[in-house]
Amino acid sequence: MQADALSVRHALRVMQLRLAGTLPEAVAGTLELVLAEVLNNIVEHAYRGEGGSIELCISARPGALVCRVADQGVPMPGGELPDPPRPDPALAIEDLPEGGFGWMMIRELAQDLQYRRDAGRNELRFRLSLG
Amino acid sequence: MNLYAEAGAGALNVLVGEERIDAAVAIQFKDRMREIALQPSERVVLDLSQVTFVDSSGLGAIVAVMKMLAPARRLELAGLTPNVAKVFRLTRMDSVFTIHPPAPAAPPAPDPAPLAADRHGG
Repeated sequence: MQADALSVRHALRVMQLRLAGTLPEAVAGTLELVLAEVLNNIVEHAYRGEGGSIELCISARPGALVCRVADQGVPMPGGELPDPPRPDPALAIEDLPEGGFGWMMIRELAQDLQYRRDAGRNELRFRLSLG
Repeated sequence: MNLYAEAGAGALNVLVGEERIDAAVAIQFKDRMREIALQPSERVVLDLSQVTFVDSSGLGAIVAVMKMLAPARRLELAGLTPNVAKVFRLTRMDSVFTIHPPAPAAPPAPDPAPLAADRHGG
């Protein structure tokens, strides 16, 4: 798929239509959210909004979905997946973060996150439990 | 980006007439809210009952609108659908915003039979 915000929307819609009825609604919602975050990160950060291509593969395993997403954009800073701190609800409104929410949610919802940079390619793998 | 604003009872009620507030429309949403908020009111209530999907960019835009209104005015949220409520919960933003519970279910409609009989009789 192409790396831009509307292609991400389209890919998520196609996926939801294909999976409709086969996944519990809450799992379908989680899958859509995690993939939206992962794909939009690639669009905005790996490809810096300049476009590129993304490979997405989802396979069903007993009790879980296994996802693999690959791109040829810039590597993750420091070669590691971000882990932003959860905001303190006591923060003053003007100090609230407006970003970093994507990785907070990916880390809350996905299991076995693995990132690999190899031969100019980023590859992210994770599992989503069906339970 | 369809946003419908209506002033009433000290609040500016803004209904989001879109299914998604995501990366594709987050900036538009913020810009439109900035224009709508020029209208004075004590509170701004964002009705998300038609929104089934908010991602981190959409959430960031909603937080940005709250910061833009502060400190004089507060942004409140209403009509969160389950997947949208989850995004606020996972990021702990549910404790930052005032979130109005869903409106109680409407009482059952009265039995239409007597009305039909009246009309028939008249």
